[in-house]
Amino acid sequence: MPKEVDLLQGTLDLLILKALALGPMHGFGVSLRLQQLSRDALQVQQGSLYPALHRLEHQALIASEWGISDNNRKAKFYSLTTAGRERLERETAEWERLSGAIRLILNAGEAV
Amino acid sequence: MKSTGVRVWDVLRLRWRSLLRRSRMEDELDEELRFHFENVVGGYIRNGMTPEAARRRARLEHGGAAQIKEECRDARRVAVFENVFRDVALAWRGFLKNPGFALTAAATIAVGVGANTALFSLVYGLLLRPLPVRDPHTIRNVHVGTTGDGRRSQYGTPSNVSFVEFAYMRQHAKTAELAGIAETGLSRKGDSRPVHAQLVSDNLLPMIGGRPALGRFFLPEEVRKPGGEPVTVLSHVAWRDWFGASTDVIGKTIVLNRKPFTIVGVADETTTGPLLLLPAVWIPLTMQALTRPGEVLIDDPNRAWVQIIARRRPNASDEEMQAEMAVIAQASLADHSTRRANVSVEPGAFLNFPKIKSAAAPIVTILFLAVSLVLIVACANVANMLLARGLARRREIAIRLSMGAGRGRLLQQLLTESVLLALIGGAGGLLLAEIAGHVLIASLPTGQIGPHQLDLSPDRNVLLFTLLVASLTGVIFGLLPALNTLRLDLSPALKTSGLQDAARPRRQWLQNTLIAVQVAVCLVLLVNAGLLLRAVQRAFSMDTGQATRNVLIASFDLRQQQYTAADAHRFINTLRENMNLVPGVQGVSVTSVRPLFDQCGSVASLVGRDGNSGSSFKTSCNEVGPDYFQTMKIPILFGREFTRADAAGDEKLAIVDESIARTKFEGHNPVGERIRIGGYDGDYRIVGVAAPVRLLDATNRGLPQVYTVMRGLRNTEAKMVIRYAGSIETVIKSLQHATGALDGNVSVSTERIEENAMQAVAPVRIAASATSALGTVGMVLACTGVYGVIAFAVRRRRREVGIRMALGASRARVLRLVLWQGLKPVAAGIVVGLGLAAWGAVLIRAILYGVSPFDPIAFGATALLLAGVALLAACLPARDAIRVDPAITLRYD
Repeated sequence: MPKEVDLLQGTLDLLILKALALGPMHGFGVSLRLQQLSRDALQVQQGSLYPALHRLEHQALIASEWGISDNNRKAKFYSLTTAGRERLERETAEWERLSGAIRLILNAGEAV
Repeated sequence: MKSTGVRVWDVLRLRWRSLLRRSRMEDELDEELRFHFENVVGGYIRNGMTPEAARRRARLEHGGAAQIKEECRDARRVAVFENVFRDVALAWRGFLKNPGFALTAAATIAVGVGANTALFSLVYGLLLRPLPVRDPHTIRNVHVGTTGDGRRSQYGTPSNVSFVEFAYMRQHAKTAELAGIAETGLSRKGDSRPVHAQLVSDNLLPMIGGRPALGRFFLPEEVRKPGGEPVTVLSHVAWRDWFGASTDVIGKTIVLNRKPFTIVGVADETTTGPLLLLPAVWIPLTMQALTRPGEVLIDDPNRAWVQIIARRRPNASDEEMQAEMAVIAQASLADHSTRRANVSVEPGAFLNFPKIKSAAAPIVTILFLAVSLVLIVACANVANMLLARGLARRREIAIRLSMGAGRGRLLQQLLTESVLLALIGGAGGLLLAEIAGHVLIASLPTGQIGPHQLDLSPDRNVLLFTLLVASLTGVIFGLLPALNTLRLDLSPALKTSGLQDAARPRRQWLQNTLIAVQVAVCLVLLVNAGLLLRAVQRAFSMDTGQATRNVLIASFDLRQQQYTAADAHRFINTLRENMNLVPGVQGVSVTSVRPLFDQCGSVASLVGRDGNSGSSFKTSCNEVGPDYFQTMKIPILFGREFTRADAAGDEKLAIVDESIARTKFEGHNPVGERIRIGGYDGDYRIVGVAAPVRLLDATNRGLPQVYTVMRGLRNTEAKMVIRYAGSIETVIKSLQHATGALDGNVSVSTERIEENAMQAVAPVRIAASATSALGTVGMVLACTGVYGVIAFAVRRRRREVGIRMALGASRARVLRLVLWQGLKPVAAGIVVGLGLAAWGAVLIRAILYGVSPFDPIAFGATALLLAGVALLAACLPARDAIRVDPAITLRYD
């Protein structure tokens, strides 16, 4: 079973936006996709995922629509809105800058 | 930018949707979570698990669905509002299910909040409430206090100015329109009751938005300079009462103070003037001289009698107005370079005067502390009721907690309940305050002060105050029990029926603390009430150094009857001689101040043989007639008292009291020495030394007394004092007869010196009765609290008592045990309360008439009374404990 990793506050929102950028998806699909993309390093709990989805929908970063899933069941599909796409770009750039900075610091010893 | 607009719209739409279609959203949420769950289960089954094992694993992994749903709801922020609606509905249903609890709690809060609202309404009505005039929010009171010159005499309110100063300020003010007003009592021909009149500048009535029902208000030329044709504007009430609302009154005359005034207008019903007392008539400021011959205030810069009411101009700020008023008030004093004007501009309200506010502050503070204490007792009581209720609901709450309900969410629900309770109680309190206001207004001596327009009905600010107090109360008394209820250990709470309480010591501790707080607070109120009552008692039994009974004080409306000073002197002298002949009269004299009550302040200095005066000291002055000391039974220690010859002569004579003789003359006989009074009146020869007297006024500063002989009645407000033996009715009848024989127009009003004493101690008496009433309310609340807690404890400990009795404990022993448990917090409360009460008593020491703030009788009696009543309240439920049948209670539960 994949180890649970504590996510930084706000990071989950970013990951969800990224997952949905690849195409509309229902909640379960999002969790599956995040698990696959992280090669099983991250498993998002239902208890964090759904509140996050509702929060993002409430902020109008994603939109929802009822549709039919692969296994022919009724499911709620989420998709990125324009605002969500803008937010994703901004947050990604932010994240790149931050992680680059952290990498620089962590590599500092080797450079000497 | 465009996307932001869309977003805001989306957010609003979503919130609206989630509010409106709550159940649909709930269904969707359920469906969404079920879909996820089944997918997870499906995954496990594909990996080779049995369906049962897969479901079990999925459930374990994903936690409580209720919790996830709750968090999803919270993610949409609308949940907060929605929860409030739901909680209110839930709480309301709870109250309906248990109306006894809800009613008792709400009534308790109503008493506490009601006392606060009632007092607030009164203070607000007098000091803060906007005046009953047009657009009251730009009306300002302008207060001018002057220092630096002892010659200035103040009439009416302490911040009045002279007419000259007013005229100057009005002419120069740019930030505001200034209007002048003064009050006076007139006598109308054919009417024995005094007529209350307002002397006004021409712009006052238009400025406050007054409207004439008939005729017109005053013209500028009618108010520009003294003299001219006397004119008046009638109030609506006077028009109705005197003329039966006849429409042809304009141009008619009424006779006021023996002068005919032409009626130029009648005010409509809504025009009631900007002052507390309702005027019957308005007359121009400049006609002041017509109302009081021999006392022309209008040209005298040393007499400040005009009150300034201003309308701030729309483009000016309060700061600008304050700055300008300070400059022009000082400029208006240009002829008196030593005088300094202290100006303050305050929002218009009846008694919004700095000096009145600072004088009323101590009593108002005591009363506000007292009502807050009652509120605290009420809160503690309800808190204890909620604690008991919380205990009964432990199981319900434990179940909800274990189902995944957040503690924060439950806290919100419990607090909603208590705030709702407080708001219902607050509404009741508003009702109680309204009733108290009616009672208060009905009990005002309107016969003495005349009709007034004190308005105690709740307006927006009173409602806001009540709402604030009530909701604060709700949070305060609700928070502690709610936190206590939520701080529970789940497993034992779920297992027991709720009556056996695992966390008992803690909970008991909280209940006991609340009881102790109630008792302590209650004791503070009762002890201070006791001290104030003792102070009133002491005031009446105090040796004032003069007669305090069998003296009649008579006043005459000589001023209103246009008596000159000389005429008034002749009148009083003749009347005095006539009264001396009446059987039963033991002494007759006159005085300028009411005995036991009034005092006039002055300064005096000793004059040496070289004619130079020494350093000045403050004194209380009194002008008295011959035989005053004999009449008032004040012993003359050296020299003699004033005689008829003194009154008839013109030498300036004085009698000083013993304290001046002792401190200023260092023991040698002052008779024959000279004293300078007021600094300007010239020197007086001392003819006698009188024993000191005391005033009954609570704020008595105990100034040394200087008496001068009353001669020529410069002050026509002279009062006659008559000491009598036997029936007072006979004396009053003789006095009325003698007065009527001298001048049929003069009316005489009398009061017994005992009434005077009552009036002098009135502030303390009011404080005493208010505190006792509040203390009694507090005591009743505290005792119901004690009763409730012990009754609850007895019910909860039935089993324990049953076991004890089965093991052979005697009934007496059980009773002692239960009583001691219940009374321990009472005892603690009494100890703490005594300490706090002593601290409070030191604060009110000034008005205790010398009663020690640690008076053992007040403290002891109150503590015993409270302990006794608490014991009674404890005994009633404790009896139930010893009626416990061991056989039944052991099977209980």
